[in-house]
Amino acid sequence: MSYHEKRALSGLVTLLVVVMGYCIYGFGARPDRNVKNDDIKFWAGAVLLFIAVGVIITVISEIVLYISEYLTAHNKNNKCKMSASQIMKAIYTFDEMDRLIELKTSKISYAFTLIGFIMAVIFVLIGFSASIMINIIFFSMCIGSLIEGIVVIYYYKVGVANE
Amino acid sequence: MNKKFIIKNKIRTLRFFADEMTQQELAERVGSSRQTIIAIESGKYSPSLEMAFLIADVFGVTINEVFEVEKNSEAQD
Repeated sequence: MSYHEKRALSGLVTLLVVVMGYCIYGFGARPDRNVKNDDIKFWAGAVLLFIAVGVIITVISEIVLYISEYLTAHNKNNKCKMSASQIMKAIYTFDEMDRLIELKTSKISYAFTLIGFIMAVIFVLIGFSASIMINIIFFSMCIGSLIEGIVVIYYYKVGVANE
Repeated sequence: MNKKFIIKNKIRTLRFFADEMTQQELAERVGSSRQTIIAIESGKYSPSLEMAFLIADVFGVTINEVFEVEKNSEAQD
């Protein structure tokens, strides 16, 4: 598995941890709390909190992944003619195929977020609370990121058409 | 969707004749990642014209000697 696939996979794991944490924090800690109550401050705080948690976990997982890749490259150095720094450069190079995959997959994420935002606005318009709007936007972003991560791994495994 | 053309390449053969050059070495020399070289070699990704020229340049051959195009008879117009 390549570095970019591992990165996408760690992103998926981070996302699942964040969503699980959000659900436990938002729906599990206080069973009496539900999204129908217009407790908008609580839900806004929860979304911001778990976005921050997601960023921190992502940074930590990137550092761990970088160290593990460096150690693997260092071990390979004995077998290969190239130095560890050259191997690392080849691993981390973000080239045209990576750019194409990023371009194609980011569209999916944007589409889901946009659909979620429109749905959230419609829900508010037909009389649902603003808390529901926040939750719809948050979950649509998460679903978009989840599908984006899966498609990134798929493209690296199966290949991507340059068209 | 069927592609009109199938792009095949001889990168594996050329690497063999270039003193069994590794995919990593080739990636380093064309300024791409090893993952991309693997994808190109296995036909999962068609490189840009610029990268195709760079690959040909590494082996000291013309682009036609690295890549060849076949018309896909199954493709629909």
